[in-house]
Amino acid sequence: MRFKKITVENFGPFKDPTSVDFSARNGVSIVWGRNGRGKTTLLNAFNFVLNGTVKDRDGNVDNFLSFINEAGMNEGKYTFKVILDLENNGKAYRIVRSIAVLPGVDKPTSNNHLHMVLQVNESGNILSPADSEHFVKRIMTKEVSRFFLFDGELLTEYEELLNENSVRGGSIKSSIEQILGMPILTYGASDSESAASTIATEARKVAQNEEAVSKYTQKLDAEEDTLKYQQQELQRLKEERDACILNRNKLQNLVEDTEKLRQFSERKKNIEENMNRQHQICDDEQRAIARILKDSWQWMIAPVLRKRLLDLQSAMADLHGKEQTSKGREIIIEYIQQAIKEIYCPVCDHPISQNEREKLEAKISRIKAETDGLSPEEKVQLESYRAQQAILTGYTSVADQAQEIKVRYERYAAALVMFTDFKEHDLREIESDLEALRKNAAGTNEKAAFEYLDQFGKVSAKIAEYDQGINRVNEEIEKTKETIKKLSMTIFEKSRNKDVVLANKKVAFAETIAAIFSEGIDVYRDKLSRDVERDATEIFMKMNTEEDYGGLRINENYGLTIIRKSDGKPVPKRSAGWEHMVAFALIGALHKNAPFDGPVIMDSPFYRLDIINTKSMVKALPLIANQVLMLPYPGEIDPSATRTDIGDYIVQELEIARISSNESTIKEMSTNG
Amino acid sequence: MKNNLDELRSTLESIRAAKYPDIPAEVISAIIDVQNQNQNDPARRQRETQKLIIQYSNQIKADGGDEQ
Repeated sequence: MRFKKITVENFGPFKDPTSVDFSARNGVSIVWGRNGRGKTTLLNAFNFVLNGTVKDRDGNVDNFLSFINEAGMNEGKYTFKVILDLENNGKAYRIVRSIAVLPGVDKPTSNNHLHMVLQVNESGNILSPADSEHFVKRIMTKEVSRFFLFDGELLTEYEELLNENSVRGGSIKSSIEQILGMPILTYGASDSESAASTIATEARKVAQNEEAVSKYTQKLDAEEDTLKYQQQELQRLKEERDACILNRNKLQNLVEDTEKLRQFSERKKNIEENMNRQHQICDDEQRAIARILKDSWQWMIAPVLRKRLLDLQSAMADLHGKEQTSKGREIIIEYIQQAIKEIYCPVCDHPISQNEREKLEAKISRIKAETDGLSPEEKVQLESYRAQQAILTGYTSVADQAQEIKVRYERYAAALVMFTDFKEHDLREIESDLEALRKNAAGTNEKAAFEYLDQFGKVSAKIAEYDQGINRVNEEIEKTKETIKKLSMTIFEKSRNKDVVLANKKVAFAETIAAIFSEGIDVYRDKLSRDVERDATEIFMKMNTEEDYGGLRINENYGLTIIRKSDGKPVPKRSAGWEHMVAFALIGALHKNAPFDGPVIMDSPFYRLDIINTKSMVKALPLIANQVLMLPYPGEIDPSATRTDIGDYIVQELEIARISSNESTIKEMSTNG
Repeated sequence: MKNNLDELRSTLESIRAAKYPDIPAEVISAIIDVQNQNQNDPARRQRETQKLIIQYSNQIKADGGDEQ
């Protein structure tokens, strides 16, 4: 399949009909565009014309109203159209898909006021609506288109393939097998089995009237009834499971669409918790400071009191000294008087003579004469000083708590700043983001966003239960089929009826065809796995700049790991950039092994890569498909290096240019661009 | 880019030729085409496959051998 031209009209930023012509030559077309000019709109145009779906920048799916050009809308044009001209198996096709306003609606205000119209022209003949639908689904199913029309973010999805137990990985595996053509084998086997069953039923009708086998045909009828019941039960379980899957897919879209809402809501919760913590710190510190300040006057006046105490103690020193001296002399006098009174010396115990007694009395008189004790006024003064000293000492012993207040105040101030910061900036910002998200999510609020996630989990669990039930019924069906097969064999062996014998041969014929398809599944899957590993390795090694990286190894999910040359072991942790390149190599390998080829459209595919890896990946672009349309933004890749590296493969360079704030156009790239 | 439908065809042909040579190669190939052309339409896919198998099985004779 080759794309020849795509035309968009009143779609996104493209108001007037705007086209990209693809050269007849194989190679890479580059459409340069700054962010917001319409690159992703072009990718959406392909998705819309082929699958009837669009995804806006906020992740909302099929919000068609938001894709109507703003200027066009102001002029009263409420429709848009995408036309894709292509060539498939030698025939020319034109697919026209448009969004139109429902009859009776003057100005659409919601997507319910719009409807989609599809028309396919095959070599000049307009196909019926049903054939048109059949055609677009046949050339590229939605599941397959994800490998042809992708953006850089989508490449990250393929990392899930490395996780053997990932639900998403399983779903991608199924998509991969679809692009590789596995359904041809799986459905080939089941449809052939179904044909064998129809032929066998017809054959048994012929044998029913034959006496030699009638008892077996009766048993067979009973088994057939059992099988019919089991198949009905299987069908019921499958239908209920499929309804759940549909519901889960819807919920998955809702869960994905509201991911930001939940993330922002969690962030808001964290901010509020942080605010509460800071508020609590403010409260605690405020209370502690108030408690300390209550008695603060004591330690605040302590320095003044301490000085007063020193002055007092200084004033007391003379009086105190005088008092002490006086007391010492009084003790000596008392001591001498005791000696005189008791006649014996209290030290050596010898009797005191008269002469000594006189000397001692003279001594007493001398001491008394020398002693200048405290006057009564001085005694009163000293007592007063002592009383004051006792009071002052009590107050000056109170510890200074200014430092603690300072520390607590700093803690309070820091918490208050953080609280205000959270409240004035973080909270306001997140609330404004949430408000914008709520508006974009058509009224969905955070509560609903979490409910979607909860419901998604419940529905997924229910699907798992249905799967178990389906497996059990399938096992029962297999047993019944085995019994039917044995009974049929007996009937055919014992029957003399030529028609029955012939019918037996026809059943065996159909069953053998089913067996060929069935046996082919594993053989072909193994072969594909090896081929994908080989081709992905080839593409990867073209991009690889690490000397020790020797190739890629595939797992059951088609997930690829990089293998080291030095020890043949997988590289344990790969950077996002390397993951991106491995995913790119996988997509290239899938294209090489798919039962059909088609163009690859890539929107900003290099955003996770460094300069060297971007350059390597650009070089590998021509390997992945005959027609590649790349939509980079300036700076994502180096224009002159790209022209040097893959110049021979570049078939055209275009740019999306802005006409006005709500209008863009596509033109040839200017020479110095 | 190669046309991998040929490889799928050749995988089944190898199985057929080695284990089930009595089955005509054309019927397998025709079913592959029907399956490939109607991947999005299960009812049509099943109907067309059955039609092909019945059409080919009608060439079988009761007394052994067939009209292939």
